Amino acid sequence: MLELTDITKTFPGVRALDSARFELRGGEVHAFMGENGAGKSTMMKIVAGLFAADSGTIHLDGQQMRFANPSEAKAAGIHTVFQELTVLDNLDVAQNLLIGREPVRLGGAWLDKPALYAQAESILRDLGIPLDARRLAGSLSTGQRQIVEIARAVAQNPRVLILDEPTSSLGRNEEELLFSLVARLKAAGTGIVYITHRMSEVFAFADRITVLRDGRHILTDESANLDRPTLIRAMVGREVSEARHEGAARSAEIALEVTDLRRGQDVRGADLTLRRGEVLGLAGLMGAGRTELARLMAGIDRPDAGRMMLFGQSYAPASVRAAMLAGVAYVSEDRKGLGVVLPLSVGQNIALPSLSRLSRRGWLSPTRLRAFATEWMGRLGVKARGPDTVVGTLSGGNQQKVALAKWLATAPRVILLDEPTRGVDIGAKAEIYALIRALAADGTAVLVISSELPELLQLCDRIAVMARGRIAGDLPAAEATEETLLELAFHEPEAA
Amino acid sequence: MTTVAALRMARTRRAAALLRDLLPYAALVLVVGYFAFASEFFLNTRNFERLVTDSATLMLVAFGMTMVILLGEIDLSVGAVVALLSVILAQLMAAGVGWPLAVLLVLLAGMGIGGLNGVITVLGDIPSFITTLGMMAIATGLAFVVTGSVSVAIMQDRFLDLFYDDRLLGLPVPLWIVLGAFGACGLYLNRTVAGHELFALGANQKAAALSGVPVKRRKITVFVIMGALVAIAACLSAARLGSGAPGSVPALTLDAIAAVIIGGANLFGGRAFVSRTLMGAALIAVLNNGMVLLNVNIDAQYIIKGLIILLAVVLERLAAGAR
Repeated sequence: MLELTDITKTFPGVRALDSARFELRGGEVHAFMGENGAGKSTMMKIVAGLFAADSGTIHLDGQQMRFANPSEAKAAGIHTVFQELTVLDNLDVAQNLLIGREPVRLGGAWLDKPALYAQAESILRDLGIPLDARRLAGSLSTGQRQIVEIARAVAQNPRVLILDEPTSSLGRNEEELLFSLVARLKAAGTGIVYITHRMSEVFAFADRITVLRDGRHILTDESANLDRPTLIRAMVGREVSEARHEGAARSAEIALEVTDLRRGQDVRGADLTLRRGEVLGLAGLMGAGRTELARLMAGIDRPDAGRMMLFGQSYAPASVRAAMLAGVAYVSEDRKGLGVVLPLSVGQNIALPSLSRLSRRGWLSPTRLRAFATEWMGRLGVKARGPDTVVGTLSGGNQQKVALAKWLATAPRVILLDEPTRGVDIGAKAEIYALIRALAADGTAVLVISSELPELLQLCDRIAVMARGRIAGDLPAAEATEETLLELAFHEPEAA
Repeated sequence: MTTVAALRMARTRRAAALLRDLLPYAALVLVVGYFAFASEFFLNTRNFERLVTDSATLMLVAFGMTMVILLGEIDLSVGAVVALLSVILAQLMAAGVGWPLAVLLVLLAGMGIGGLNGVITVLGDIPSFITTLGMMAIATGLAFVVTGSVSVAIMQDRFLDLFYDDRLLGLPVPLWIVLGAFGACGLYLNRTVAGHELFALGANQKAAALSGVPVKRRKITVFVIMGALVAIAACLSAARLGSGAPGSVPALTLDAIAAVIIGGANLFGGRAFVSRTLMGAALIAVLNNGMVLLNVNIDAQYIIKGLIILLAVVLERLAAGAR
């Protein structure tokens, strides 16, 4: 139905696509995979009319097409939901759903509000989305906003729907909702392009898989004919060991102990013990309170009640700085928003939390700062021209390494990593895993929050599962499986 | 977007960035060249000294404004507060208070007003635009009320000499004060923990807070520093006029903000430089001085300054790229 042939696209200094091809059938879910930078997004942006290809052809239903802008692609029935949400926070759900095609009267001068809500409500009902049409989008969770975004595209009965990592911010319920929306479209003959990093989804969900590497087409096949190792090999071009980490002999010394910690509706009596030299995974569904718990431990928020002990001493950080001085560091899940300062340089970012320690009575030496930044760039393998490179120009994986470097440079005794590999390609992931293991081997206590269970199983010594603001249980990674962890994650705590 | 368009956009951005960075220097050379050609009174030592002493007030306020704008904040009250403090200074001296004590009290008052701006803005989580707009109205009103709308003459010659006429190593004292403030602000921003943190704070306050930057303290401190610079500026302004006069520096706030913007600062925070502000302020000082020499109508000067500000802002937006 949709066929892209011999697509080449060059950006200044990079050949993003090199005679790449892609073919989509009506009524199929086609996973489009590759490392970050492989050219997936560029390819899809060409389909969506955001970029023009240097050469190559696009055929839709046998007809050659050329999209000068996104509206032309939309008019041809090609809809795209990108990772960056375009839902407007100051409008309500209905206005967002029907933006650009609101029902009007008087030749467009008058917005027909009753019709707007009636249409929106019927769309929501049709699609089985449990959201109030009058709710302000700004009050929705990220996952819910993502659903609104997807619903907007689905409601227009697209011929082709492109979903760019749609599940990266979805909770379990929303994921089910998404899958049911996709199943519906599929039945109606829509071709669905599904860009994702999550292997388990691909095999559960996709009819066919195409892999791109360095802008070139590597393979296209029925997903039933493929397996994980083959896919990884195709994406990386080399073998990546997915072997589980062998549990190291963990120290008995308790680094951080949390007892009956509470804050609002998010953290409702959490107990957790983190030991020196171990990597403790924290699993749980969206909204289970994992990030909120970490924020309490990092001194960002203050608990309503409960107790924390750090290396046997009472620990109640009044600020991030206090936590930092006590040796506790937190690397945020929101890399671009909270983890790094995008317009500043790599050096400025790495040194930021360590400035006081690097100073003599408040005075800093530029040479010393540079040497410090350069050293940490080297230790983490940050790929940038130098410490003066602006962080915003780096790839996701390198930005994440900067975020890690900045906190490792504070020499923490306890480090809390919130989704440390989100949006990071598979090669950089492996490097980050190695780094985390090395930290633990050096005696640091590491807590890893992740929504990817395979990641936790591979990386951690022990995995705790959080459900509804409490720790539902924990078990050695060697004994855990995705099933047992999910079992705990869906655990209903006895009425408290 | 085609590759050609992308290339063209990147080229536009680079060109805009270059122009933005060159603007204060190029404009200064052009303007100096023009005035040297147009007025026989422009290029001589005496006029240069007058230019320097006349612009010292602007320079000090512009340095403070650089830090405020680096935070993504603004201070609209500076002109009104300079006038108010110069009035208080003159009245203190008229009441028999010795000049050193009067200067000290005015310095403390300036820091207090700056601190108040900072505390209301930061703790009240109110845009500084609004806080300082209110402070501007209060200070303007107060200056007229306490003087009964007339200027107060300063009779203590020692003060007038020190802050206007005296020389040190052959250079006028106001120039030394400006150089001192310039050096101190530059060191603060580039060589201290607090200064380095301001860049992160201005660019992304939440990320800075999560990195352990004491956000509130740093922001309030900047407003207090601004207040101190405003107080010193008030002393220089009063000494130059020989009196404390309400409404004495009508264009100061606009000029100070203009100097920072011409220096290529980003009004959303995270990017501002004292050295470039110095160039921006020098450009405005030369414009003020030269247009007086050429008998250009004082009100027409606003039009020229306004055009330069708009040009600088457009260049900075182009250079930063579309958000």
